[in-house]
Amino acid sequence: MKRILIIDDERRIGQSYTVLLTEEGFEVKHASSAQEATNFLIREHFDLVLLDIKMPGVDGKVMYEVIREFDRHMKVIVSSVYPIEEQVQSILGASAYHNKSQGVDILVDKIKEVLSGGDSKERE
Amino acid sequence: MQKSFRRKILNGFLVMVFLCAFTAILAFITTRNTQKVFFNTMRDNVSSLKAAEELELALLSQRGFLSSYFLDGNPIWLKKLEEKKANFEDWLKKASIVALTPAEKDIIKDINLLYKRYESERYRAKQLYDSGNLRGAKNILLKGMWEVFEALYQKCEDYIRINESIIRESEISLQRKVIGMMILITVPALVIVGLVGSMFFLLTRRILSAVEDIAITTRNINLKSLSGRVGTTDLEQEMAYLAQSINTMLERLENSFEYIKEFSSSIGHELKTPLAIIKGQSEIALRKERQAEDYRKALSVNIEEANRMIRIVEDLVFLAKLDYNPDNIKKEVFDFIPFFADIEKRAQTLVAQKQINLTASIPETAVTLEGNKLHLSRLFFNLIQNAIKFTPSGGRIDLTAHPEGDILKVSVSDTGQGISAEDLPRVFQRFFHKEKSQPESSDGIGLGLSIAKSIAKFHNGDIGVKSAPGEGSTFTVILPIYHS
Repeated sequence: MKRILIIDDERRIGQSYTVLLTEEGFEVKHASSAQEATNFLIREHFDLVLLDIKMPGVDGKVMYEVIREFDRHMKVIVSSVYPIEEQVQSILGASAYHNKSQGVDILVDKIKEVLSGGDSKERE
Repeated sequence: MQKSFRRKILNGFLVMVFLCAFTAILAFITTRNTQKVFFNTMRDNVSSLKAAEELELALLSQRGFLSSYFLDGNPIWLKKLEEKKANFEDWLKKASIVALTPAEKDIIKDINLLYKRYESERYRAKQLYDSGNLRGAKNILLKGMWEVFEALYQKCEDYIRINESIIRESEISLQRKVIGMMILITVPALVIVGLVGSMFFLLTRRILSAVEDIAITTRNINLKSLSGRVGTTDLEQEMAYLAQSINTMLERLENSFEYIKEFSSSIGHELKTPLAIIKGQSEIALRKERQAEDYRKALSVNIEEANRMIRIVEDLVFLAKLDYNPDNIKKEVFDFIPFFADIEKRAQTLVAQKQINLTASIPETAVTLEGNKLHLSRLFFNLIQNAIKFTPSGGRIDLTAHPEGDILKVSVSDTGQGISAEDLPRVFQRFFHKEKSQPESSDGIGLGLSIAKSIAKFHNGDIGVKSAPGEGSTFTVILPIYHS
């Protein structure tokens, strides 16, 4: 079973995505802060990280670098309410980008694509 | 030394004044000297001329007196002749003094010699006459003396001619001097005109180029590029002041636009997040058949998220009203003491849930304020709720109010975690979150402190904050006391 870590300060986003992805057959953990996320990354193995950008304290940009420090090949999907072009400007080199306003079906497709294909990077 | 247009103009003016004064003094001295030299020459020559003419007359009159004496033998003529002789000798002496040229001196010498001959002829004639030889005397008078007289007359005429030519020469030299003087005045005048002209040309060009520089920079400023600045190096004081003022204005504009950009981005984020939750919850609920309880849960989450959006929009509208349309907000004059006591009472019920100790120090005498009580209580509750949020159970919150001169100071202190130096300047920024809100709580959309500050400013007051990590925070509100 593939394991996914959701890093999002919005508790409800974390909760609903956990329900969604669990129903899709993934094992899901939710971290609502950088500290929590780092703890998970140290202790557990994940196949994919779903990363929010705007968070108080340590934001997604810094968190992305932290994830890369842990695992250079970790698959990361950036997920935020910002338009995708803006997300690419903030964090360059993620496996995929998701606009939360577009809905959950697209998110599930992107997660599956990234996990199966290995390389489905959205390019500018 | 600092460069300045004023100083440049002053320096230019001083140079001009100096040159003008120099030229005027030069012209004055030259004119006076020329005048003096010319007058002296004229005076000398004219008196020489007069002397020569009088010499002629004197010679003639000597002969006249002698012939008169020969006619009637009256010695009065001889006496008159002696007088004239003295005068004649005087004139001769004067003429030899004023004689300047060698030619004049020669003539005077000749006249002297001839005159001696003339005198001796006259003496001889008188003697002949006295001895009774009237014929011999007349002969000398008409012949010997006449010849000498003719020669003397000729010499006098020569002398007059020389003097006349000297006067002519000095006239020509005066003319030359006048021309020289005109050049002496005209050249510096032209130099002054040239200097002043080029000075003003350079000054104008300098001002215009600086103005053009500013114009180019400001023309290139637009919403996309507000970072351009006018160069301030190597500018005159006045231009530097203008450039600095423009740069300060650009700085403020850039900050305002930066702020608006960040603010709009924040509004977007804060409103899209509950929408994304509502949409996600609904989509997940509809993905498959679920229990009625699951739908109820999803719907109640959606209602809460909708409420969150409503609160954000209401707060934004309220802030916009405070910022841009404050005239419609009513103010009343009231006593702050019972008002603040009531706030304390309500705050006690809030802290009780979290086991925080709240104390209040309120003055006993009345303190009158003018303001909107509803908004002011919102201000203080925002501060109190903020304090409760960051103060752990068992902590303390102190409310103090005390008048200081014309202002009232109200502080809300807590023993919470404090604010880092990095966050301190940003706590009043709109949508600044210290930590993520819990959707259930009524605060925490990042506008509470910003609203509190706007309310304080609306009342002509302000809010300041003092804090350090681990040392709690003190927010102090300053409000003007009302005097009727």
